[in-house]
Amino acid sequence: MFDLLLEPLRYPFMLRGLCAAATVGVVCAVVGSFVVLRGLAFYGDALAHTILPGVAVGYLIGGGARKPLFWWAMLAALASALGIGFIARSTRLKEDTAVGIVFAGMFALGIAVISSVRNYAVDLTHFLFGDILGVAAADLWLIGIFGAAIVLVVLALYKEFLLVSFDPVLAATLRLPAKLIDFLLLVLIAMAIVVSLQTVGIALMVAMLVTPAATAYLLTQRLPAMMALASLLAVLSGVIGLYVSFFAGIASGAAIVLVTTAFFGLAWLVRTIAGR
Amino acid sequence: MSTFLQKLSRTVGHHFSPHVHGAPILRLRDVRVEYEQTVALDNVSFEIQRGDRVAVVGPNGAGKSTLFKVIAGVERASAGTVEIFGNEPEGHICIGYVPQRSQIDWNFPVNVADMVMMGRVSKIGLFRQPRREDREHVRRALEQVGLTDLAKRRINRLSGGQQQRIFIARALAQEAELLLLDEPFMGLDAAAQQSIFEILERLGTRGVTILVSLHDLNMASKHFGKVMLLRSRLLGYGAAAGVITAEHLVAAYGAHLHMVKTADGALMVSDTHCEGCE
Repeated sequence: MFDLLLEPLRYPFMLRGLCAAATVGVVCAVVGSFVVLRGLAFYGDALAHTILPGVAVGYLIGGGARKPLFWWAMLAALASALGIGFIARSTRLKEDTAVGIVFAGMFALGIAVISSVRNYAVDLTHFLFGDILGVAAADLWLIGIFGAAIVLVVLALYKEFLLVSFDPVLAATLRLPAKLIDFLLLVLIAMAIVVSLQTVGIALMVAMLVTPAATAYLLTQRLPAMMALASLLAVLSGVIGLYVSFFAGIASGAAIVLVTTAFFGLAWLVRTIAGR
Repeated sequence: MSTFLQKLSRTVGHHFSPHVHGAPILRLRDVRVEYEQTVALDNVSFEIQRGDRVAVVGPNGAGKSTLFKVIAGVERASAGTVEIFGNEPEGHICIGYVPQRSQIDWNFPVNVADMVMMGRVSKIGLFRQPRREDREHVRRALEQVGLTDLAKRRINRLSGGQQQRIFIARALAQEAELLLLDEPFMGLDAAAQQSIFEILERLGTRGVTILVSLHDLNMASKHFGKVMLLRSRLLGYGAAAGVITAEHLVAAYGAHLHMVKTADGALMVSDTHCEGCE
């Protein structure tokens, strides 16, 4: 049994994958707690999809090199976040409509760019569903540095994020720069998505943002506990998911997301039974 | 690192306005607030002195909530001026605005003490943790509204009256000198209403200035030193007897008013609006 658990660790790509999955899990859980509390799931899903044209262009220009993709993805996500805010404010359209427009438009642009290249299917699959076993040491550095930065900013501005999310009117009477803090939160969500791109891919990203945080929400009473439990669950899901993927031979991103979903199902069951 | 953060905090943070000596705590001059099609407030002028307790009454849509938001500096007047202690509301953090209870997501994962601590965010400052002083403010605020025992309770397990009291505690932790309460009595039973009255009375004697919007005219005249009757315009302001008159009420409530002269000469008035439509 023990040998079986150790076996995957003999492969460096598995070790790197586990490190990436754990880091990404913590980052997504911390940021995702705010996504859940503020009802930003659709926004997060959309933002994940809008990075596709970024990585596509980066891929074309870089001739398949990995590293520039990160920055191109970041650029696309930030541009989309700005675009959504700008459209919603200048047209009086509801924000989710603006999100929908930018989401679909950018995603289509990404597909269009990728489809102009030869081995279309293979690369698109990597972007859409992740390629965690392909994480290189350099990728791991980027994930680690940006992930740490994101978590540190959330912790440093914890009480401001909490206040702006819970009661924006009080934030205004306390003369907090609420719009700036809100925008910073959206930027952090965008960064978390880019950092997580390689683990679960664009299509399943929203699960990393939402599912562990939602599970923790069901089981905790206060936000710090919710964030901590969400992080723990996300790390566990990453590790268990990768093992399942290794032994059962299924796609790693899907395996990780299925484990988070299983955790949610368990928590939901426990709550429903305990609530009776 | 920490001195850098302090500097940054000071740069980003507000420089809050001083209180001009001798200026009234609140003065409005010709305030007008327009939304796209409607005029919410028109030509409203009045002064309120420190320690006043004022009931703001008027039909739904009379602009009571708008008035409070303009005073709190959350919304801007289209014309006219609002002065708190002699300068703009936007510079002050001494205004405690208590929204209607429905404005808050009570399922948020915070407990009573967490929510009251939010009133101290500006005083704590950017990048900082609550200090002992802040926790002491929270403790005293909870004590004043009688919620000390519930400090660790999650806010979704509070009654309506307790929710209202935690709002007031939060404003106290904020060290608010001007308290604006939007429909605090709505949906509360008599006992809960009574406990809010008692808290407000105690605060009044300590020099906290209080504006409360409400529907019940009897309550307004019975419990508050001054009454303000609003219907976009200011129809009357002063002692209840001079404000709640037949003439003013017809002007305020118009078609929704039913007046019956009874045998003993009393005037019966009913506002047929449902509560909480606003």
